[in-house]
Parts: sequence; structure tokens; C-alpha cells
Amino acid sequence: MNLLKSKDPAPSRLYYKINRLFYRLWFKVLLITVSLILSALLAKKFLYKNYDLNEEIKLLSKESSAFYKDLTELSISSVLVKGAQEPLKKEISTMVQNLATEGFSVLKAQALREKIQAINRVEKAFVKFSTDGLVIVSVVERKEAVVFFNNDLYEVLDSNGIILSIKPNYQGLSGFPLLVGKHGPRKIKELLLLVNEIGANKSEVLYYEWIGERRWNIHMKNDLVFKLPENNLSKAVELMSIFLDETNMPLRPIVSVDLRNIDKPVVKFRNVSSIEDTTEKIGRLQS
Amino acid sequence: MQSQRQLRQKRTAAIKKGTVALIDLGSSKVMCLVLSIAESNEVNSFSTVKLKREVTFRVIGASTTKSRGIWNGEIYEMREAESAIRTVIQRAQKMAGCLIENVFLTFSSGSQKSTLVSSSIGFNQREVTEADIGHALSKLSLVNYDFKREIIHALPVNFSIDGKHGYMDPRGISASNLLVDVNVVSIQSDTIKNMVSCLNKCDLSLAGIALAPYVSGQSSLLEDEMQLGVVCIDLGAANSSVSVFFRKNLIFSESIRIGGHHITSDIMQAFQISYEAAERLKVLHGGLIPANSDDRETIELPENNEDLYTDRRTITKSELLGVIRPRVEETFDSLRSILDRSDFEFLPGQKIVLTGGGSKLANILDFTSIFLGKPARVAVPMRIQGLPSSAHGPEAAAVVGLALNLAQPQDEVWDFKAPFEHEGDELIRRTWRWVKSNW
Repeated sequence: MNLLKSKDPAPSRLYYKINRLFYRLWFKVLLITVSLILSALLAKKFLYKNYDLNEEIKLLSKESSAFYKDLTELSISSVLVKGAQEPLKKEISTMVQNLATEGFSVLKAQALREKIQAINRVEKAFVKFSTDGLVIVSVVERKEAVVFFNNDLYEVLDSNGIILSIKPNYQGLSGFPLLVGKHGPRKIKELLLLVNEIGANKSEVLYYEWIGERRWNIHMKNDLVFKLPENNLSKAVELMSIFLDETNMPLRPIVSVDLRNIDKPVVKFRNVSSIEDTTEKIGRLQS
Repeated sequence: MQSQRQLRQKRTAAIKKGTVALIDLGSSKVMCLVLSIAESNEVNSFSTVKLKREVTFRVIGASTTKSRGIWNGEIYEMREAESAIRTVIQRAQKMAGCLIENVFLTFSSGSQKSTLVSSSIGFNQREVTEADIGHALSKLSLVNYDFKREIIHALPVNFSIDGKHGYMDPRGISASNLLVDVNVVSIQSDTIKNMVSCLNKCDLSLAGIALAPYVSGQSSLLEDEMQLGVVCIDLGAANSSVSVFFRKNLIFSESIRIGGHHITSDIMQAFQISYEAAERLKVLHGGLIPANSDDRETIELPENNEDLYTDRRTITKSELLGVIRPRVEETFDSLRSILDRSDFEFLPGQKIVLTGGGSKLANILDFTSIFLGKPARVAVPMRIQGLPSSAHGPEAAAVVGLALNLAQPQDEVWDFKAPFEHEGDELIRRTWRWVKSNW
């Protein structure tokens, strides 16, 4: 027989038995089940414990709720808040601890996340429970951008116009541009762009006024008012900067610079110039 | 008898599962075929009332390996034989793509013995029924046949009614006396025990067993030859067997412990070369009929040393023939004496059919015709569906015959129902049979 070989190695008894087992359906099912269980255990041991929330924040945002949906029987040992400043950290920690006393069902990730996100200062929140009772809350905090003067109160807003806090006076808020005018908070992003374009001269600005829901007036600290056009703001801001640099100390007091028609700027002086004013100006020039 | 009945039940269960393996445990090779039982057709059986199922099959796996630990159809080294079976089973499983659990076994045993036994019963003049046949068969002393021997085949070969011979199916014939002749083929019981033990160690279950001379004849002989009378000589590696068929029944079977291996061994001793080289010499240059050119035709002997400065030994072909022919003559001389004992001379058919690996020897056909004085032919087994071409040769006659035997088993004594068997529920059974047949 041409199939015969002089050296024909036989399979070992163990290999033969294992090989036969692989033909059996129950063994195949058992093998697949054991593999799945092992994979799940390994995933739990290595992936779950070493999960980096900051790096996988997007993935977590989608999966965290579903993943911990059914984890109801948890006891909280400690709360770790990431990405927030101290007052907000305390507020969130207190909230989680208070919710824990209400009952474990509330502590589902989704519910907790919604409650944290209900805080004005919180833009995004992600919650993770670990099996040892640690609650990790990762927060993206809203940043203060603008102060809006409304009904004799100063409202601190973020870039989206969300009120973060309300204060009776302007103390401690001078770092943020002051906004005035009806429906001003709707134009905060445009205002921030404008402030950015003004650049170094922004420290001379007293407040920004949103006029007639169309355009901006910039009120300087020296009572000078720049009336900006509706369009072509960049050029207007450029002219304004030139004007401020060139006319540092004018002889006659200027009331306003009208830049609404950008090709024909109109400078408006005060109507009467008193002798005292003239003397004062001369004195300033001499000094 | 009971163990054979259990094997029949196992056979049915194995066929129902759809996949079976056939193993030929030879002295030179172990061969395995995996059959997929595709469908079954109902055929009318001689022995039972119930319709018997004839199976159709397809070969889906085949493998062969060199035989180890098996000689003359007996296991000499259990571990080696086990490893050989493991090898073929694993390969066949891989090819078939399924698990093999049930195995049908065939082998040629040196201890096989064929005996013709008869039994007769007398009764009042009436039609012969199945119960009468069962009654006649039950009178055979097969139960206490020989405790050291195991009956492998017990084939009813002839029925005689009132002194007239040659009935194949006596049912419905009016008579007062029934005689049945049964050919009982047996081997030593230890052989079977060892083989079953070996299969169990390979996690396999024995579902059927058949002797190689019988199944080789089934795969190699034509229907007319079997009807008229024919001798099938299976020339194996360790033994050669003779099986005589008449009226499609095996009427005689015997084997001698001389085979192709002895020829190889003679060449090895005569020219002092390795076994593999001697086998190669036999296959490539061996022959039996001398020719004038044999003295001039030289053959280089393969040497074990690789010394380039030493001349290689050469022999003439006539020297090789001088070694092969005496051994073949001795073999055929023994076979002739067996044929004389088998009363083959008195059969109408006088044909000799050679099969097995030894029948591939050159000029063996002419030699057989001259030596035994009868017409001869070399037979290849019947082509079966899915059989690889590498396994389609005289050496695969036994395993192919086993497949055919599995598909269409001949009725044996244990297939007939003995009288008084299940006596208590016989009435219920008869009633149920009547209702079923008249529904």
C-alpha cells in the first residue's frame, strides 16, 4: 500500500483522548463557557480595576449608566470628586452622602449623575462605583466668563449664559467684563470675541452695552463712549485702538466716538469748554 | 450465541447513529474506513417476519498505517496494536470530520476453523414454517460448541426437505422432515477478548465482527461465480486463507500461516539485506515464471553502508526467482491440500480467484493456473462510493467486503428466532403481528 510509511508515529494516548473530546458537542459547549467565564474574570480583574476615568471619559459617559444600572446594593465608604474646585467638591460630596442615606436605589449611577448635573456650576458629571464602596465623581466645572448687571445685581455668567452666582456688588469681579443691556446674556460669545479683539485696551473699558439688540457700545472709564457698528466689528475695534493710542490726552473732552458708519467716524466733543477745564488741561500738559 | 445477538443489536444501534468505522487488522497494515450511512431501504429478509433494513453508505474517511503488534490476526503486543489503531482512527476521524464510536472489525486468523454441522427435525406432513426452521437450528449444539473457541459465523448453507437437497428458502413447502446444514466458522476466544480489550482502550465499541476470508470473497467475487462455486484465495502478509463459496454461501474456510512476509523474509536471509530492501526487491523485481533473460538481468542490492569504494553486490533475477518460487510453491501446496479437504473438486464451478496483497506478485496468475490446474483471476474489490483510489486494490478486499457485509448482512443462525423464546408474550406478539400485517 503506497500509504504505508516505515516510520508512522502514533498519537499519544492523552492526545488521542483530547482529540476525541473535541468532536463532542458537550465538550465544545463546556470549553466555550469556561473561556467566556475566564475572559470575564480577567477583564474584571485587570480592566475594571485599572480603568482610567480621565482618558476614557467619553466611553464612560455612554456606558457608565448602563454598566451600573443594576448595582443597587452598595455601601458607600468614601466619595472622590475629580475636576472641581473646593466649594463644588464639598457640595457634591455632601450631596452623594445625603443621597446615600435616602436609600440605595437612588444611588444608581444615572440618577446620581442627573442630580449632580442639576447643580448650576456643573457642566458634565460622570459617576463610577467601585466594589469597595468608593464613589468616583468626575466633573467638568463651568467657568465664569462675564458679569451681567441686572436689576441692581451682578450676575456671574458662564460662556453659555448660565447664571453661576448673583452678587450685590462688583467687588472681586473686576477681572470679568461687565455687560449691560436687554438680552445681553444671549450675546456672551460675541462679547467674549470682542473683548479678545480689544486686547490690551480692555482694562480701560468700564462696561459693554448691548444696544437695541443690534450692536455694542463700549463705555470707557474716562466717560468716553465708542459706538460700534452692527457689522465689521474688527475694523471698528482697530479704529478704536488707533484712536485711543493717538488721542491719549485731548485738549477738549470727547464725549463719544461714533463708528456706526465706519467710513465716516464722528467724534463728538462736549458743547462748552470752561476756563477751568482749559486751565486744568494746560496744567496737565505742563506737568 | 448470546454475544453475537448482542453484537447484532449494537450493529443496529451503530447504523442508527449514522457513522461507523470499519477496521481491517492485518499483519502488514491496519486500514480504516469511515462510512456515513445515508439512507435505508426496506428489503425482504429470509429469516425474519419483520422487514429488514438494507443500508446504503458512502465512504467519508479512510486511513492506513503500518501494522504493529498484530500477527496472524492475533494481538501480540497490546500497546503497539493500540497505537496502530489510535493512528488510523485519529486520521480517519480527521478526514471524516466526526467522532468514531462504533467499530466493525475484520481480520484473518491463523486459528480459524470451518465446520459443517447438520440438524434435522421431523413433524407431521405440513407446510414448513419459520418456527420449524428455528426449531431445527436450535437443535444444533452451538451453545456448547467449544469453550475455547468463539463462533464468528454460523451460516445456514443448505436446507433439505424429505431427503431432497438444495432448498434456499423452505418456508411454505409441504414436508415431514427438515434438515439444515450450517457452516460454523470459529476462532480462539482469546483472540476476540484481546481485540475487544484493545478497542476499549482506544475508547471504541465493537459493533460487529467478520472474518477476512469471508468478506474478501463478498467484495471480490462475482455473483455467478458464487452461485456456481468458486475458491477465493486471500494472500495476506502473515497467512493465506481459502474460502469456498457455493450457491452464494460460504461453505468452507481455512487458513495457513504462510504469507507474503515469509517470501520477504526468505529474500532478506538469502541476500543478507534489510527487510525494507527485501520487500522492495520483491515488489519491483519479484516474479514466479522464469524467462530466458533472467540470467542476464542483474539487480543491484541496496547496501546499508555508504562506502563509495566498495563495489555494490549484484544478483541475477533468476537468483531472486529461485528464492521466491519455492516459498510460493510451498504456500500453494498447502493451499491445494486444503482445497482437497474442502471437496472443491465436486463443485460445478472450478474457478480460483486471488485477492489480497500477495496477489500483486508478478506472474502469480499464470503460476496459480499451472500449479492448481484451474482457471484463475486476480480480483480487485468492488468499487464503493467515496472509496479513495489509493484504497482500491486487492489488499483492501477485506475492508471493502466488510462494508458490503454491513450493508447486506447474510442471515446467520442468531438472526433466526429460536422456539420457546419469549414464550410468555408469544400470543401477544402473534396478535400484534397479525394486526399489523392486516391493517
